[in-house]
Parts: sequence; structure tokens; C-alpha cells
Amino acid sequence: MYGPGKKPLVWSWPPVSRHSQFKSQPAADPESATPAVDAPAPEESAPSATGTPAEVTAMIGDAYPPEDQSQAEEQPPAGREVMAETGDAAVDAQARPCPPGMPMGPYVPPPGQYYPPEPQGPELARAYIPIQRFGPTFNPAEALQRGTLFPELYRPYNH
Amino acid sequence: MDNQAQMLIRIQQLQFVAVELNLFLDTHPDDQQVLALYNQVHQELVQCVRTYEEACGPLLNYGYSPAGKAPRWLWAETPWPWEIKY
Repeated sequence: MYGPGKKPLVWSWPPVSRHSQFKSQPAADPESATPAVDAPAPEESAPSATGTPAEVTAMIGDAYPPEDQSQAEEQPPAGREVMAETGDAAVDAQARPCPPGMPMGPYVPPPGQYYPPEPQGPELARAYIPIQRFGPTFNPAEALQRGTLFPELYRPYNH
Repeated sequence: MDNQAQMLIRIQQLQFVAVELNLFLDTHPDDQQVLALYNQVHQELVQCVRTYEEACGPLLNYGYSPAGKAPRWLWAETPWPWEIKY
């Protein structure tokens, strides 16, 4: 879709997040990624901005090529055409035909604008709570005094 | 500390243990050891409450405690929580 001298056929909103941009999926065939509006996008034509971040960065320059009026006029009205290059079904479902005068192609934020650089293969934080196991307990008087029956939960403030 | 206050403290202690075991059983409903301990604490708590009410009057009103064997209504005469000297 982003070949040299070619403009993307359609425009979508909301913009594709950077996370989905960096999904490592094979590049879609530029000619096969134009399904009809009411037809679900085939899986093989779904992947979008693909490849490594460096490749995506290289593509950013093509996302908004210089205005070429003659080429823009060759563009079909895009009434029944949606973009299928995001690979995100939710985004595909909300794809809209490009209004006149709007920039073509999915919105790609400039690199480093939203989030700082990340290491290779970052993972989101994970929270866990270990299951409590029953063991020795305080006696009732001590439990009432300490505020818990379970010694493993006794954490007084130090002040 | 008089005998009434000691009985009330024992009731509070057992109530607190029951609450703690209750919370533990909420997340460990099949723990037989804790179930048995909870039932044991419940029995002791009921016994302590019964002993206290027979000696000092009802702990609860509106039908949750018996009036007792005293020939008069003791609810208004028993101390309020802030009047108990521990």
C-alpha cells in the first residue's frame, strides 16, 4: 500500500496505535488489500504497517507524500473501499471513506512522540497475589491486639 | 477490670477471630481445618454471649438477645460501649 509513488487508497479513523503498528506480520500485497466495505477483511490481507520499527519509520515518509493534485484526482471516491492493512478488526470495522481534503493513509505518529524508546521485546507488568495458606495463628487476645489473626499479615507501621 | 468487662473483651476477641476466619473461608471455602476451627470459635462465642447475657443483660436488642431471667427489662440499664471501663 505504501509503494513508491503510490498513495493509500483509503483513510481510517481512529488512528492505528503504535503498538499495532509494530506487530510483526508479513507485508500485505498492495493489490489485494482492497476488499468491499461489508465483506470481512481476509486474514492474509489484514496485516498492516509491518516489519521492524526501522521499516515502519522508513514508511512514515510515504504516509503523507507531497500533495499531487493529478494523482489525487485519479483516486476513486472510495465509497465502498476500506482499508484492510491495519490487521486490527476493531479498526477495520470503523474504517471510513476518506473525506475530501483529509490526508490519505493511516495516521502514524512520528517516532518517539508518544512513548519513549523501548527495549527489544518489552513485556507489560504482571501482578499476582499468592494464595494464602493456613498456618499457625495468634491466639484471640493477641489477634485482636494486632489487628489480624494471621502472623504473615501482621505488618505494623514503624513510627 | 471487673468480670463484666472481662467477658466483653473475650466476646470481642472471639468475634474478631470469627471475622478473620470468615474472610479466610471466603477465599478457601473447602479448607476443612479452618471450617472446623470456625465452628469451634462459633460455639465458644455463642457460649460466651449466653453466659454474659445471663449475668449482665442482653447484648443486642430488637429480638436478637433474650431478656434473661431478671424480672425487669435490662437493656436500658446495661452500659453503652463507651461506658465500659476496660
